[in-house]
Amino acid sequence: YLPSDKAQDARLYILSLQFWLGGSPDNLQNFLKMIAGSYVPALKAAGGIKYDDPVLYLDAGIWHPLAPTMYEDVKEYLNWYGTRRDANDKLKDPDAPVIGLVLQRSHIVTGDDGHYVAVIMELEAMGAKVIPIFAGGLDFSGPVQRYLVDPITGKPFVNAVVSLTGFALVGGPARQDHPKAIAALQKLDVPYIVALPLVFQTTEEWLNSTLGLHPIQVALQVALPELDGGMEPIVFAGRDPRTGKSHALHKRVEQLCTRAIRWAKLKRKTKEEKKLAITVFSFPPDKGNVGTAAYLNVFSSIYSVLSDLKKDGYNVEGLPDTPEALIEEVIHDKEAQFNSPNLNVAYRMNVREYQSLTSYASLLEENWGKPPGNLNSDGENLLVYGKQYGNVFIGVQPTFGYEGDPMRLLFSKSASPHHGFAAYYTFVEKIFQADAVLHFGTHGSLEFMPGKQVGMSDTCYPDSLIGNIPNIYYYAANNPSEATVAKRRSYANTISYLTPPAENAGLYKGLKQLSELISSYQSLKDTGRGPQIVSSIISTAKQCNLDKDVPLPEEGEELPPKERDLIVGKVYAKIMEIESRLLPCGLHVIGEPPSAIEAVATLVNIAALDRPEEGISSLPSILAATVGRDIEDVYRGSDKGILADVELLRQITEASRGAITSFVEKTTNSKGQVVNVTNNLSNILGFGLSEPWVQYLSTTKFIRADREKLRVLFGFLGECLKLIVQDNELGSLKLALEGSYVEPGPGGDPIRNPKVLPTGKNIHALDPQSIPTAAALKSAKIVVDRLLERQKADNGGKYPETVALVLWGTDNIKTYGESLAQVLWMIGVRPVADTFGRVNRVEPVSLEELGRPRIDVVVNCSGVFRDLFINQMNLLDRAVKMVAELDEPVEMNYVRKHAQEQAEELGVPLREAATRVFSNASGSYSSNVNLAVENASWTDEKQLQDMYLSRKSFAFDSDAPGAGMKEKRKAFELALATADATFQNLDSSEISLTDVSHYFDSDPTKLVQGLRKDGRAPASYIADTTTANAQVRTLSETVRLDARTKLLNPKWYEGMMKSGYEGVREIEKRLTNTVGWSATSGQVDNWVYEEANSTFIEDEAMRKRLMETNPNSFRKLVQTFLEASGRGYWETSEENLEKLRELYSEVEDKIEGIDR
Amino acid sequence: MANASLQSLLLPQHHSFVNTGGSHESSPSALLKLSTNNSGSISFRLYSNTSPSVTTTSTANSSAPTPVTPAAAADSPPTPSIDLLGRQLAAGDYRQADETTRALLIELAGESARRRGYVFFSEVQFISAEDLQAIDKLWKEHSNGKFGYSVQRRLWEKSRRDFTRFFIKVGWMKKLDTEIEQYNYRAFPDEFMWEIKDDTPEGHLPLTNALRGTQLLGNILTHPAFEESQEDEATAESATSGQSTDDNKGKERPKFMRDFKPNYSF
Repeated sequence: YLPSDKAQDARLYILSLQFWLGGSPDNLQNFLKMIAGSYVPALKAAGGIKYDDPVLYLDAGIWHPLAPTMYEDVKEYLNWYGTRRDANDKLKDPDAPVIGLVLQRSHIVTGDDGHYVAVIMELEAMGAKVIPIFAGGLDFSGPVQRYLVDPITGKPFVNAVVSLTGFALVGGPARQDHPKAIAALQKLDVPYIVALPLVFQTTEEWLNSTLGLHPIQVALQVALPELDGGMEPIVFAGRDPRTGKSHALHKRVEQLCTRAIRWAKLKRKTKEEKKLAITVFSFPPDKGNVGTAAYLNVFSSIYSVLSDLKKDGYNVEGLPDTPEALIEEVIHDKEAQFNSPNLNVAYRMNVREYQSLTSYASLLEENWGKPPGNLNSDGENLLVYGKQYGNVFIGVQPTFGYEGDPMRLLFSKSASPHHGFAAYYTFVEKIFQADAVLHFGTHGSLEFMPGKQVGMSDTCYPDSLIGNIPNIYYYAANNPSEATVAKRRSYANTISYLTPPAENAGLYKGLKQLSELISSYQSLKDTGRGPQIVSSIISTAKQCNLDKDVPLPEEGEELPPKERDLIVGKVYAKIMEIESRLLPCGLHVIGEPPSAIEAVATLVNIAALDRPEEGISSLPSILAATVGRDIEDVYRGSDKGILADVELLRQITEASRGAITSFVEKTTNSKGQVVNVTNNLSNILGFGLSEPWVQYLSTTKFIRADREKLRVLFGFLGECLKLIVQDNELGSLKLALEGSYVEPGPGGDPIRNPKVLPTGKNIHALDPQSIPTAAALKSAKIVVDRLLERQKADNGGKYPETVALVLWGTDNIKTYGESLAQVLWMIGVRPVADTFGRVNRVEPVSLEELGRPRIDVVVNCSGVFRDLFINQMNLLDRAVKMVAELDEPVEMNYVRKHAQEQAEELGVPLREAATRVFSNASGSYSSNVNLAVENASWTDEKQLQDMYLSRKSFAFDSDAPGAGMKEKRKAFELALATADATFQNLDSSEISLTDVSHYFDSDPTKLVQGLRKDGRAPASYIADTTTANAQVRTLSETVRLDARTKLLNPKWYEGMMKSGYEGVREIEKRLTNTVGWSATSGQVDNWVYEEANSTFIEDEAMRKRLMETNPNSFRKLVQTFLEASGRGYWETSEENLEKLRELYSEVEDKIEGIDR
Repeated sequence: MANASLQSLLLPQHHSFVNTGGSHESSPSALLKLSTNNSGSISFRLYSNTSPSVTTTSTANSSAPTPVTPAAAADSPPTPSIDLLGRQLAAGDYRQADETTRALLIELAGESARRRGYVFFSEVQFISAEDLQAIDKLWKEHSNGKFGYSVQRRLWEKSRRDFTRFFIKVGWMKKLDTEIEQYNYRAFPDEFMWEIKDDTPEGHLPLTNALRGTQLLGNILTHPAFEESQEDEATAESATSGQSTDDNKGKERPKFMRDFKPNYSF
C-alpha cells in the first residue's frame, strides 16, 4: 500500500523517466511543465500546468523521415517502403542497390537529424533504397544483425552499410569489442563504411585547419572504427557554431553517397561486366621503375591475379601467356626490348576533354600552368599509359612530377598534382569507367597529395583524384602506418600481402673462410697452431674490412692465449651476427605463399622471442636453461666476444634451426608445401614420444630441454606456420571486388605479432592512445641505457646532452610505442594510463631513480607519425615542457639547461623555448632529401640540408593543440645544434637502412655538424631491436652490416635476380640509398662502393645479366656509381671510372635504339 | 497586373536610394529609423508613397517585424499564403517573404511535410506547377527579375548544376580567408542580404537551405514549373552576366567546363 501522495510521486517519477529517456524537445518541455505544475507550490495551487503524455520512442529500430512510425520489424518497414507513392522509377527498380544506414537514436529523438535526412535524400535521389537503423546504446552489432540480415536466408537485405555515427560498432568511444563487431560484420558480409559528423569543431574551424579533423575525433572516430574494418572516414556533416547542431556538407554528402552506391554496385554487377583498373607505380620516375612496390614482384603478381580472375569469370580478354609478355606489352609497346623506350599509350586525352571531365583542372594551373603541360603529355594531349585487356585496364600512375626540381622539392609545401596525374584518374573514372581501382603494392603518390591530414574537404586532392571509384589497395603487411594514410586520405580498402620469406643472410667469400678458420682455431687452439691460425684470421678479417668493426692487432704481433681467444671471439660474434641476419629473399608474388622450408627462418625468429603474456618461453631460453645458463647472460657474453659464449650461442641457434626444421619437415609433403598442419600437429602432439623436435634435440647437447615448455612453444609455432602459408591474398581481393566485407587485421611485423597473419586482411594500425605499453617501456629502457652506455664509452665517459632522434609511424605501431617510450625515458618521465588503458598523462621520474641526468632530445616525427599519433606528440611536448620547468640543477637536467639558454637567445619564455617535437607541415611528408637523391637532382649537401630544415621545422605546441604544426625554424636549429648524438631505430629485419630511402631522408648527422658551434660531427647510432638481443650500433657499423648482408651478399642479390626485371631495380635502389647515406651522414666506407663495383660491374657475366634484364635500371646503377665518385663519396681507379663511362654510353645507346 | 507596373516604377528608385543612401540604411529595421531620423530617406519614402502597398511601410512606426500585415500578431507567424507573400514582397520585406516562401512550400507539399516541418525532396513533385510559378512570379516581380526560383534555375544551369558553384554565385556561401580557395555556408539569417542592392547577387532569394543537403532545392529547380521559362531568360542573362561581382576565379572556372555535367546515374 502506498499513501496516495506517494503513489502520485511514484507515477510522476515514472513519467519523468519516460520524458527524459524520450529526450525529444516536446518531451522535455512537457517534463518541465509537469514538474513545475506538480511541485512549485504557487503553480500547484493554481491547478498545475497542462502537459501532454510522454511520447515514447523505440530504443532501437528502423526510422525513415517519411514513415508514419518507427519500425521494429524490417519486413513491416519494407512493406511500407514498397507503398511509397513519392518514390521515383529508379527507386522502384527491383535491382536498385540497398544501403543500410546506422544512426544514433539521440540525433533522431532530439531532432538534430538534418545531416541524416540529407544522406537519406541523397541516396534515394541517386536511386538507392535505404534501411536506416538506429540504437540508443553503444552496441550496434545486435541491431545490425536484427534489421539488416534476413533471418530466414541469412543473407543481408543491404548491399553496403554506412555508419553515420563515426563510432566503433560496439562500444562507441568507451570500451570497444572489436572481435564482436567483426563477427557481426562478417555475417553481414557487405562493404562497411564509417562516415562521421564534426563533433569537436565547427564547420569553419575544420575548413580552416590544415590538420583537418580534430585529433581527439581522429583517435575516437577514425582510428577505432578502422579496427572493425570500417572504411572511408568521410566528414559528411558540419556543426553550426551557434546552435551546435549538425548540418549536411552537401558535396561531402554527395561524395559519401556516390561512393557507398559504387561499393554496393560491386555486389550487384556480374563478374563479367565488372571493370577493374589496376594501377602500378613508377617511383622514382624512371622507366626501369614501372611496377615498383615494396617486396613485390608486381608483374608476376598481376599476372597471377588476372589468371585467377579470368578463371573466376572476369573478362580479361587478350591476356598474354606469360608475365614477361605482359611487361613487354605495357612497358615496351610490343617492340624489341631496347628499341622502344615509350610506355604503351592507352589513351590520348585532348585538353578540351580533360578540362570538361576534370572539375578541378583549373586549380592545378597555379602550379603547373595551362594543360597539357609537359608531363604525361605529347604537347597537345595528355597521355594515359597502360594497356587494356577486356574489362581490365593496367595503367601506370604518373609521378609527383617535381622529383627533378630542387626548388619545388624545397618549397612544395602544397604543390598540387600535375595535369597528367589528374588526367590519369579522370580517364579511369570517366572514360574507362572503372567499377574499382586496384592500386598494386606499397605505395603510390595519390594518397600523399596535398590536403588535410584526415577528414578530407572538397579541396583536398586525394579526395578529388580518387573521385567516386572504390579503391582497393594491395599493401605490404609490415607497413600499417602508410597503409593507414592510404585508408584515410584515399579511402582505400587495403589488402595485406606478405613480405617475402626471410632467410638467414649466411656467409660468403672471405666471411665464409673466416668462419672455417675460426672453427679450426677452436679445435686446434691448444696444439701450438693457435697463433698461426689467429694471424690468418686477422688478415682475412682485414681483407673483409672487419677491422672497422673489431679492433684488430697488427699481423705477426705476439698475443697471449687469452687475447687470442678474445679477438677470435669478437670476430666470431661479428660473423655470427652477419650470418644470422634475416633478409627477405627475392620478391613476393601474390597468390604464391611461401613453402614450408622458406618459413623456417621466420619461425626460428618467432621462436626466439619470449611471450610471457601468453606463457610461451623462447626456444633459446629453453635451450640455454638445459646447460644451466640464462640466455640474457649468453647474449651479454657473446656481445663482449667471450669465445665460449659466442660458441654456445651458435650452438643454441643451430639447435633452434634444427629443431624447427625437423618439425616443419614432418608437416611438409614431397613438393615442399605444408599440408594439413592441424592434423599432423595433433597427431604429433598426441604421442609425446615421437615429437620431432625432441628427437632432434636428443642428438645435441640440449637433450634435457624442458618438454612441457617445448610442447607449448611448438603448439604456438604450428599455429603460426599454418597462418604463414595460408593463401588469402587473392581470395580477399575477390571478396572486395564482389562487394563483400574484408576482414580487418593489424599490420606489423609477423615475428613480433603473428596476428598480422594470415595476410589478405584490411590492414589497420592500433588505438593511438594505447601506446606506449608497459612492455614497450621496458624494452625502451634497455635500448636507452645501452645507447647512453655506448655514447659514454665512445666519448670519455660523458653523457650526451642532447640526442636527435626520429619517430616513425610504422615502428611505433609494430613495437607498441617503443621509440616513443625511449624519448620519455631519455628525459626521465613515465607515461601514466587511465582506466581505459589510454596513455594521456606523464609524470617525472625522480633523479634518484633515474641515476643520471635528464637527456635533452630533438624529436623529428615522420609525417605519418604526425598523422597517426598527434595525441602522442601532444603528450611528448607536455612532457618536455614539464621537464624544462622542473626545479633541478641544470647539470642534471639538460632539457632545462638548453631551454634556459634558448629562452634567452630567442627572447621567449622558457616553456616556449622548450620546443622539441618537430615534424613536417600538416599534409606534407618527408624532407624530400630522398626524392632529390633518388633523382640525383641536387647540387650540394647544403641544398639537402636546407630541404631538411625548411620541411622538418614545424613544431607541435601542446599549449595550442588545435593550431596544428607551426614553423619554428630557429628553435629547431638551436635545438639541433646541441645534439651530441643522432639516433634511429630499426624495428624489423626486412626494412634495413638501405632498403628504403626513409631512413637517410630523416638523418640529420651532417646537418647537426654544420649547426654545432664546435663543428664536431655528432655520434650517430642505430638501435636494432629486430632480434631478441637488442643492439645499439653506430651508424657506420650498421651501414657495413647492411651492405654485407644485402647488396654484397650473393644470396641476396641472386635472390633478387630471380625476380628478373624488378630484381635489377632492387639492386640499383640499394646502391642509390647508400649514396643517400654518404650524402646525409658521411658514414659509408669506401670499400662498400669498391666491392659493389667489383660485384656488379667488373664481373662481366653479372653485368650482362643486369643489362639485359632491365636496361633502364642498369643505366641508373651505372650512373649512381659515377655519381658516387663525382660527389667524392667513392675514391677509385681511373680504370674503373672509364669502364663505367663506357658502359653508360653503351647502355644509353641500346635504350635509345642506336645500334653500333 | 498592377504590381508589375508598380515595380517598373519603383525599382529604379530603389537603385538611386541605395546609391545615395549608403549600404547599411536599407535593412528593414534601419528603414524605420530612417523615416524619423533622415530627411533624405523620408523624402524618398514620400515619393514612393504613390504605391499603396509601400504606404504601410512608411507609416508604420512600430517595430513589428511584419509591418505589411498589421492584423497579424507579431509572435505567431500568419498562415502562409500567396497573398501574404505578395504583400510582404510588395513591401520589400524580403526577410519575411523568405520565411513565408519556405512555410508555403511546406504547406503545399502536404500534410506529412507540415507535421515534419520540412519538405522531403520527393514531395516536391506533389506541388503544382501553378503554385510554384505563382511564388516565383511574385519574387521576380518584386525584385526586378533578380530573385526567384526561375532565376536560380538559370544560374544553376549555368553552373552546370554544380551546387557549390551555384551557392557561391548566389552568395549563399562565403569565401574563407585560407591558403586554399574555399567557401563555407553563410549563417542564417545575419549573413544573408535582405534587400536589393547593387551587390546583392542575382538569385540570392528565396533561400532554400542546405542543412539537409541539396536534393530539395534540386527538385524544386527541376520541377516542370521552371522548364520553359529557361529560354526567355537566356537573352536577358547575357546582358546581366557581366555585372556578377563574385570573385574572379569562380567566374573563370566555368569557361573550361562548359560541357561538364556530373554523372551520377548508376
